[in-house]
Amino acid sequence: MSDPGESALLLYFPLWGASFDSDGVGVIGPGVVAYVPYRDEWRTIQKTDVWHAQWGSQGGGVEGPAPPCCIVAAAPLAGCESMDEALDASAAALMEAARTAVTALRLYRAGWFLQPEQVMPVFSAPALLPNIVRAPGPYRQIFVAGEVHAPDMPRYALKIGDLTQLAGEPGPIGATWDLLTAYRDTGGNTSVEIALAGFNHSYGFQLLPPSRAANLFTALDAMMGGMSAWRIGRVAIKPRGYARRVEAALRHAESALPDDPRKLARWLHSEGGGRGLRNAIAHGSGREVEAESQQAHERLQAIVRALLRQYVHFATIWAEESEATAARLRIAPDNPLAAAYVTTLEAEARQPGAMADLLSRPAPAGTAGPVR
Amino acid sequence: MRATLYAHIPGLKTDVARPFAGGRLERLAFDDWTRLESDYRYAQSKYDKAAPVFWVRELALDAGCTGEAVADAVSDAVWPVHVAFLLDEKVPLFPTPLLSSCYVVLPVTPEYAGVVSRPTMRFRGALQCEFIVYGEPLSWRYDADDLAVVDERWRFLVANGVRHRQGEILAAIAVLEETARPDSWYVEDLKLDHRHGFVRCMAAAESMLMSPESEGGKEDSITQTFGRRAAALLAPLLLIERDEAATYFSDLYRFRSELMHGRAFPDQQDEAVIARLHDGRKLLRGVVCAALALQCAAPDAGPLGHALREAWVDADKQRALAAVVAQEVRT
Repeated sequence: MSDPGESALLLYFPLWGASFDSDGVGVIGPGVVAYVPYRDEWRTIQKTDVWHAQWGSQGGGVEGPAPPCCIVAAAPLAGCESMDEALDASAAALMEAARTAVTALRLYRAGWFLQPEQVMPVFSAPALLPNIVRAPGPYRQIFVAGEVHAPDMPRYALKIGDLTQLAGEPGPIGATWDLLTAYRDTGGNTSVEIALAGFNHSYGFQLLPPSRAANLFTALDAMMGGMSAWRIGRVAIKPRGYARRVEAALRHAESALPDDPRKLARWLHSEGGGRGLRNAIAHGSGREVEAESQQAHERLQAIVRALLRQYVHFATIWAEESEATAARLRIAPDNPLAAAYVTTLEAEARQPGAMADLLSRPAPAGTAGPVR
Repeated sequence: MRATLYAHIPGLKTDVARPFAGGRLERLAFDDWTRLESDYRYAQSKYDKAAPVFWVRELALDAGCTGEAVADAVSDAVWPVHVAFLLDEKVPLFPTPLLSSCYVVLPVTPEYAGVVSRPTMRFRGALQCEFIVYGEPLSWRYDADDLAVVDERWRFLVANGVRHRQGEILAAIAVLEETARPDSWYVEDLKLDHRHGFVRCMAAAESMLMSPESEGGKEDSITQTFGRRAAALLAPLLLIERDEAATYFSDLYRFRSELMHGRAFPDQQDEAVIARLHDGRKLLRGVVCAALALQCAAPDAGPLGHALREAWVDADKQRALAAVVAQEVRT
């Protein structure tokens, strides 16, 4: 995108650590795209001394440092005559949109990149003065020295085919964006927000593997209740039914799973698997939790990713049709979201397919299955 | 070999230069800092405004002065100082100094005295010098009295070899440490996430207070049990009635459950909500301090949850437990 738009306020969210297989532009959602900026564009938005430091750390080649793939969100200036005015009008909405895009990328595909706010988002409005405002985060200096502190996780590989390129034909990340914005339009729910936060923190740049795993268990607790819980709110649940509920949920997964749903559910609930790891982390049992957490991370994160997509979808239905859904589940409509979700999973486990519409969205004709 | 360690404590603000934790706390003058760190020669005004505080102390390098050996020595020295701050009653969100920058100035042997003046090893964490030069999004001010308390706690942690113990206490300290990292609380300038730390701290407190067999209890009974056990442990320290404390801690657990299950949706920017969310961190800090006191007094005692269950129903055991906690915390 060589012309950043004279009449727009742009927010650049650099995805340090991610790769992109195209020099084109793909759409994530309305007003939000992903692309690798041209080097001149990158030099404009990057602070000069940082640009030089990054250049030096990459060997000082004649073309300058390689720009990272960025999420770029845009809002019209709509008569704003100063940067302050434009930021007051649109900065919060742009940050929200860019964050939603980050979550959409992570809910769609595995892979690590550094949370952009932790480095340095940049606002740009070529028509205004000043035309650049940078928002430095705590880790903005890190990429200057290379990636010596990057966690040991596979990097995010964004593909142009994941993104929308033709209007009316949303790519899979666009569909995930739609899922999230439909949920946000309902006003949100704390349980979903805690699960989303736990999931996003499982990518934590400076967290140790047990902390990343603990964040995933927090996300699971928010969605599913405790592994031996008898009750959520006023709703009784089967204390021995955790694995069956997880299996029922995973059978409707819309993201890639590393194994068969039954095997994954059993692993999650077993002493030798997720449950044991969770207890070892919580109780400091002296097991080699660091190595175990590292080894389990991808599998655990894939389970949470699949459940979380489903939970967001369910939360939207629960918010919009709580009376009808509650009647179907035979619970009161003022019960908490997690209780309704777990009740749905118990019903689905009893009678496979009975709750399919609450657990997965109908696939548009001609679309492929979960990404592998 | 004896070297000198300069460890930046991110988030700490003080005007006091005082003996502290076997060394001293010092607001290094810009010129002194640039003798350790050469990349920021033109940043004096920013540095002066940020007013970073360093912990300076002698460092024994018994395992030699390879990069790895010195890094281990720095980590060993820094851990109890950092934890002493994390366990302060303000429960500050200080990221570990290992995420910021630490410097070790090595002694010069006589044969190199004319060649090298200050051989310095730099240990830069992922924050690099960001909080040193540009300041922190969160900072806590400490006066001499505050620091004296932290100093005492540092002595306790070192004297009792707490770092090398196993179990829930270290796991809980790890949660206090994790949730003090910017990854856990930084959202954007002037916007911080307090809810995430609350949820993590409450989970860690639950792991410490509850016996493994109580996990499967009904939610109502877990809420009540959590409150009672926290009260049995902490009411003597808080100098409030045990039943009142139990009600308070049960309410805090209920708040956690309402958040987790999606029944409550409080405004995270509301000051009252922020204070309540911070109470989760305060609770975990209190539980860790009291549990440490009990463990040091009776290293072979069984699980904390069992002792608290018995203390709640047996007045003699409650008195004995309270006496140990109060005595250890006082000393």
